[in-house]
Amino acid sequence: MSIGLVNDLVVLDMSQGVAGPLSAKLLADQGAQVIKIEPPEGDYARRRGPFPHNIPHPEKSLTFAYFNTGKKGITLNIRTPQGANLLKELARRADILIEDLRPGELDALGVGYPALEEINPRLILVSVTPFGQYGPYKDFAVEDITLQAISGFLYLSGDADKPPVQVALEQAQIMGGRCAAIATMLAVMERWETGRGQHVDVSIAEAVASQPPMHIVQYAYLGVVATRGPRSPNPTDGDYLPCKDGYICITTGGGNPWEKFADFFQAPELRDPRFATREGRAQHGAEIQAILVDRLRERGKYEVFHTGMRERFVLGVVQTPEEVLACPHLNERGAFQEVAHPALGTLRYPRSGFRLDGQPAGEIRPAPLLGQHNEEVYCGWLGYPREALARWKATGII
Amino acid sequence: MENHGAPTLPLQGVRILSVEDYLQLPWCTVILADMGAEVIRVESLARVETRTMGPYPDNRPGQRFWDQGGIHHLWNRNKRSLTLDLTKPQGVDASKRLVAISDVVAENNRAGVMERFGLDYEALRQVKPDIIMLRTTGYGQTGAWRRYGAFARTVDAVTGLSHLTGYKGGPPVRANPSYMDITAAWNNALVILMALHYRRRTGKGVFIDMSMYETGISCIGVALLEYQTSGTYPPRMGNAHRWMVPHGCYPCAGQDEWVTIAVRTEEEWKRLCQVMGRPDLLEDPRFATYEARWANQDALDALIARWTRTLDKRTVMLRLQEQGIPSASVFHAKDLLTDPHFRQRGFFERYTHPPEVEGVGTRVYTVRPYQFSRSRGSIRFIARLGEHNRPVLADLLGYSPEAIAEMELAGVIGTEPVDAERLRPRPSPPEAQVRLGSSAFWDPDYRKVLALEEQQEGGAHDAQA
Repeated sequence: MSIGLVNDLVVLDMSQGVAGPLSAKLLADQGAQVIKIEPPEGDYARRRGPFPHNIPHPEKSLTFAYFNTGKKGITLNIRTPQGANLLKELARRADILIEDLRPGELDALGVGYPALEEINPRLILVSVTPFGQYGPYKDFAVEDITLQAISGFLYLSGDADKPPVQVALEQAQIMGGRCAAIATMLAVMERWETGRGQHVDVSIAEAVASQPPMHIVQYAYLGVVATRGPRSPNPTDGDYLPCKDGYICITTGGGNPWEKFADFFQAPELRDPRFATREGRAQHGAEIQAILVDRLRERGKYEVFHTGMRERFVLGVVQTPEEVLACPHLNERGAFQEVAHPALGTLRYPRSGFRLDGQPAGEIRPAPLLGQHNEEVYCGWLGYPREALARWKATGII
Repeated sequence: MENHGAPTLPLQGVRILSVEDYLQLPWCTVILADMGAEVIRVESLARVETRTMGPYPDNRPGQRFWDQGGIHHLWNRNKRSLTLDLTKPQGVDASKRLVAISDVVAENNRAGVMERFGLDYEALRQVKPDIIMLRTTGYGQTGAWRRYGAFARTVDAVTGLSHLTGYKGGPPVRANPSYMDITAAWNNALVILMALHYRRRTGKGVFIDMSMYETGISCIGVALLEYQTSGTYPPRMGNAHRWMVPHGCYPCAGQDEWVTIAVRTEEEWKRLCQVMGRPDLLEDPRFATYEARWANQDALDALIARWTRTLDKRTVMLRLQEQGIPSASVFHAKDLLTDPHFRQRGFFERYTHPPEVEGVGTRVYTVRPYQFSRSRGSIRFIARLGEHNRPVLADLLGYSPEAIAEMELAGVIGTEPVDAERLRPRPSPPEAQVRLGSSAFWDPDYRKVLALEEQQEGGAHDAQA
């Protein structure tokens, strides 16, 4: 039985896509009772995919399945007066409401923070939007690549002699979602002191812009603008070099002297005095690279990785997703959990990244089907008769 | 936003003892310290890595350079500095007495180090039964890889993210200098907050074993599911997208200036052609349909690049945004610091250092990606090495002046690193950074650009510039 760190919290998640849903998932996976409120046509992530074998199906979007684990699913058209009223009824019973409408839209529907606060002063309203609730860009249209661009993340990714390159798989949205979960928990902690909720304004662009923040300091202290590409011409400062069967990330970190590095690569020529200092290695980076590439050609990436790590070098092996899934270390730690989903079958999902009291943390339950819990929530929780459900369905409210 | 009631800081009254260095734990404790937690950063006089990473104001490390570094200021703001030699019994004793009055103990040393100090979870629980302990490393406290060292860039590789990132047909590309560090920092902050909530509710502490690797694989969850269902995942495709077209990063006027554009619908495609002044493309058989555009992506990207190349990156962004098309300039540090949106939201905060911290004066720092209607974080102080030795030992723990003097004499506490002259930084000049390619360009007048001069006139600080 896992510890449910937040299993007393009731969360309404009416956000779509990745960022808002991830923030609610992070709480759901640690026990929070999350109700996902989708418009009758469903979260747009259900239509975006990716889908198994590229065959679109509203219950088989892997983005939806991954970012909505552990939630109960209901449908509700909040753009109708009755829908807005039902949202208020739900909000009366909740601790947290996560939303991602355009700034101002919630107010226009009569369910902005002042209205919600009146109904439930303990409610924490979390707005997760690309640029926050105010500011000149608040209504800008975004995709992940544009969020990575405007926040300084893209400029620093890739090779110096090529265009900047995006980091895969909607990482901007993922950063925004994680920061939204932090902000939510900060408001929860504040509520312990004051007994009151508040309105939290999360900006996804700012989440991305807060990493890596070092380039901001470099400008503010020196006036230099950091750029992408290897930070140092010395390949042992973190370059990826090819092995027989893939790539290895090489650093000399770990506190070992340079001589030991030369021994490890069976490259006595690295003991040349020209390479003895950091400055020398930066100056002669191309030569070092040529020597390492030659020595790595016949070696396997995992052999280099494990041997080096055991000798306290700090290396990285470039793994593929299938290698990650098969990783003995991850499996030993219980980093994946099997989850049975009615449409997708049983798959292994990565857990939260930490263990609690020596056990894998939390529990991942499958994402909901569209409207799966309408009856449970509207009838069981709010106390409406089943006939009301049929009526709302007919009038497009759910 | 409106202010509903009196401002409060959510973590007032929470005390966190952190034995930390580098980024993934320091950036976590900054998040908590900004919002009111009393973070006591336990520093070693023998290892002051973060304090010697620079950058120093105008590259001039002074007498007490370990108090002057910008990365130290950014990562350690709002934290008290207590130097303690944990290899000595007095150091361990003082830290245990602190544990007894703390809520959280956090550390990011290699697995095994805290055991050597006698500060593992079981030892801490003897002192404080409901303590929350976070241990955060590259690979966690258990499992075959637990003793492996890690940097963000090596973990990028191991998580699979690098394999998925890169130019079409090219090798894997490392995500970003510190992505995994900061993502792990966020996960650390999140789980500490959840654990504090759990303790408020149940009275129980918890032991958290955080792994940067495992946090990282949660960032590629969709690819992991796709591999299991389809036996595949997206190849490295540069700035292209699985289904959006056009979708990319295009050159603009100037050196290394870029803009990104993502077109999602037929309607957006039509509007893009209008903005580009190329209605003819709508009839062009190479681009008239989505399928045609998909098949002719390279030609389409070349056409768009021909248009963007003559324009300022902001002009392209604003013209496309007027039409509701996702587009953004590729910003670098200077763009971010001078951008009206981030400025209006107060995303960069100014802080004026006291005159004791030589040559720094007023600088700007990245703050928080969230704002609250009632709680407001800010930079309240940035500690010099050992600045809080006396306040912590005397006021919190009741050490006598004699006992403190004795600890100073024994080198258990202090305000100067061991062997400071050996650590004295020799920063490379901005011109050399640009020549070697680690920096794109240098603005010698950056103070004027950031309006730092005017801020300093009213302050007590006499700038070196």
